[in-house]
Amino acid sequence: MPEITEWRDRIWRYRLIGSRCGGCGSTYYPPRNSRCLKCGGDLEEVELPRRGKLLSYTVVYQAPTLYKYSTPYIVGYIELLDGTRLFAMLTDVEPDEVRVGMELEATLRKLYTYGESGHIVYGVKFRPAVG
Amino acid sequence: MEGIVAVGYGLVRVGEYWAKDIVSLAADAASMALDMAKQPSVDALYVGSALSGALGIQGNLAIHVADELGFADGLAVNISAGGASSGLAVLSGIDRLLSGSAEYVLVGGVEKVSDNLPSDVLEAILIDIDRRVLKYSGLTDAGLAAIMARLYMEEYGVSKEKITSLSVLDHENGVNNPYAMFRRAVSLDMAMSAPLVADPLTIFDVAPYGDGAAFLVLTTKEKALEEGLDYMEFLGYGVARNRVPISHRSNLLSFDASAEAASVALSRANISIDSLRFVELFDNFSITGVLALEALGLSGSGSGADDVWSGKFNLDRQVSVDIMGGLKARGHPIGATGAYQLCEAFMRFEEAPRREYGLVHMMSGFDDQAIVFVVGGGGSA
Repeated sequence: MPEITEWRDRIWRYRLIGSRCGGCGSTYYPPRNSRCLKCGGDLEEVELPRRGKLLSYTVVYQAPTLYKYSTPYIVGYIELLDGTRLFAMLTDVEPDEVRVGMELEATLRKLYTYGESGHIVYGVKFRPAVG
Repeated sequence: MEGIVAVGYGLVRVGEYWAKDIVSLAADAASMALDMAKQPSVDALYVGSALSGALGIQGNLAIHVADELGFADGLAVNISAGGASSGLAVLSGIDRLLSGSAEYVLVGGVEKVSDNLPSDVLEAILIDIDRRVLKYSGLTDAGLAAIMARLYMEEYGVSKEKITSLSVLDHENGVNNPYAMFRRAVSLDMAMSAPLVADPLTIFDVAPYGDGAAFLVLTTKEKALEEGLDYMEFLGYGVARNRVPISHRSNLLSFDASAEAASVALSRANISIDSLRFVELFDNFSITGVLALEALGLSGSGSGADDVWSGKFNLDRQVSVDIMGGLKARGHPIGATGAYQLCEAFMRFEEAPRREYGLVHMMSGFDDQAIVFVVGGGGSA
């Protein structure tokens, strides 16, 4: 039942929740359950900024089964305004419009659907920032 | 570190073995290694396999391989650690010998990817790397490598052609390897214009997965000399880990674990990097091979691709890289790949009897856990 794991991860995945260190301010996404990797300090959950810029990206042509109907799709390596770095799918943009350095904002979208159960899994994607 | 040697190697050509199951494939390679070592009594068996359990092929694999080989007793340990599986099997065998608990150990790995659909194999590999990061972003292993490649090109102003020149070198060298999945040279044009897997990487930037098995018989140098066996000596090893998930790293292009493992291995072996004759990279992608070159200290940051492009690591140069074809041409039987690299190093020493040194680099994921062995040729003759 892999779908249980999607349910367990739903809150941080929907709301872009990461971890922030009370000691040195380092942030992590996905959130860490243990201690800060840099200083060993205590971590707390925090909603991360929803804007950032694109550091690098790829267009995926050979996808795992759950994403096979989405190809080709774009996955970005993104730095949020507070410096947190993460990987997320880009949406509302075509491959030839994507530029390293472009401003992005988070949006909640459908990720994939389980065929047998029809269970739809949602999560954060990023689109070109408006305004 | 001193005194541990390999006295036998065995491997099958990487490819698709429809008529063989995973246990008999492992036994074929292991039997060849045992024959070369003159059929010693083995005290412990360590079998690496990344996916045999995850894909439902055979759980608890090592006891089945031990039984197939007719081992009546002795330790049988299964190690599943992605691309580092067989490297950790070798390392565990060495430690067993160093502890004095064994006189002979059989170590290696086996992978069977053709028993499952490619999409199922891909998913098992992605879960090995990091379920949360990859599954919720749609990223694949090749996609992650592609993001690194574009970052590298942006950061250092390096062309894609220079990165891909490592794949061309692999194919050129793989022609000489009878166990390689692909024994033909390819042109840079062909590699660049091939179908995209994850832009900007084409199928020629991605090491092909294949079925494979490779094993080594290890013992002490003292025992090898006593029995009159030719050997390859393990002069040093190092192992280190990088941060996971990969989004928590401050620099995607810095393979810190590989750097640490190499530094420890060379210092244990008391050998400088300049005295190496060859280096085997765990180049599961062209870009990861380039980043490994830089981490190991063979190239400066941002100059690995330039160095490969300029021919600095070709076969006729002082330090040659991927002399038997690397992961691209030999093929990548994931949990067995590290054992292949060591078997190939042994083959090299057989052909070049003079004393020389090689460095073998392995890792799981993207530098998640790195192992480096420094090896040297030798023999009783």
